[in-house]
Amino acid sequence: MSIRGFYLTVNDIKIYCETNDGPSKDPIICLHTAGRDSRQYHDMMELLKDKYNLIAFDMPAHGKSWPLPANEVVNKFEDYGRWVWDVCKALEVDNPTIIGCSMGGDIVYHMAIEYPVKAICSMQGADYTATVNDAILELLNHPYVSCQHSHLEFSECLIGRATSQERRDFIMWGVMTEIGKTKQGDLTMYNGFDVRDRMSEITCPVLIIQGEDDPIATVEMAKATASRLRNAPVTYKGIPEYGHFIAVENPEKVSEYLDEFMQTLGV
Amino acid sequence: MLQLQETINGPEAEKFLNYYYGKFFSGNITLIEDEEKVTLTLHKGKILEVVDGIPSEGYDVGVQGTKAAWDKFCTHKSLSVATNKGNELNLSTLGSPITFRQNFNVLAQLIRVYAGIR
Repeated sequence: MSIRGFYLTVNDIKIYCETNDGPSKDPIICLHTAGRDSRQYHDMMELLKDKYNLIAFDMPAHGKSWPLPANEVVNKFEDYGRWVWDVCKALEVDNPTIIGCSMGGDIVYHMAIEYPVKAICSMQGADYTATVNDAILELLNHPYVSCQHSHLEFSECLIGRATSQERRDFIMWGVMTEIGKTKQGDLTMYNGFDVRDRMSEITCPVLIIQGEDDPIATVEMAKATASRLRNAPVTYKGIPEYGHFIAVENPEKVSEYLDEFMQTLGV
Repeated sequence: MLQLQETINGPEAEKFLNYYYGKFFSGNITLIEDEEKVTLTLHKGKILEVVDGIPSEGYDVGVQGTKAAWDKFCTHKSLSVATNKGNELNLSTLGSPITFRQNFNVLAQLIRVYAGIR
């Protein structure tokens, strides 16, 4: 195990980060899925430790990071974008490659529109993800409904059929450790994510990795998103039989595709 | 539906009762496909009886849809997918939103098993 944890103070909030201390000069910044934390990148950090410096951090109110003042959470993608950029600045990273999955896979598109990133990799992301019912959103943070239990099948249905039991168990453990208010903020953000009319502003290289056994963040959504990237070099890599938590489900294939992509960037 | 009762009470009982928290469920589950309506009465996760129609005292929880919606459900077998607003040909929910969410796993697993024998 070659993963090191540390804290940064960003905007007066303690943010927990993990890195593999890999050799590349410019780090790859890794964004986790809704409600979860940086542990989703442990396997990729191990697989890529001899090539790339990966830094994953827990978003505010996730994992071991502190929430916002008065225990508030982030629920807008523009605010998440500012947090990601402020963390990059605190890490003294000027020109990051940013990768993310699901919610993180959405946010990377916003980052490429608004911030001077080197490149992005979107896993199970899209430019429009209004898919969650309002009743479910409201009841993620309700005194009579357990977020962890009521939302179990939602995560379960997203896991690809070829995923190993050990990795499936870790994903399901993630559901059981979620904070209702945080998850509600994340899925509110996810539900309100729509940058379709700004996708042509993206000009940096884009890698799209799509676990194809994902019935909610679908192949069709990823390909529709790719079609709107008119001014960016786009590489699409589909991974059959693996699903939504692709960085956890098949880190070997994701690392292979990310390595190929980074080499095209000259990193 | 009698085969569903035998399966939930038999070979699927352990998973249904414990992994999907069926052991905490007592009440009615109503399933509607087009004009066909069936209500299953459960006590602590065991199906006690299956009757045609809807409960006279009103729905506890349930799911309804057209034959086409149920056919589609049988291809993925996920209630989350079948109620996701981004998808077409969805199933719709019966009962109060809170009760439905409280018992989501129970219902999801019951109709997943149903899809396997439908």
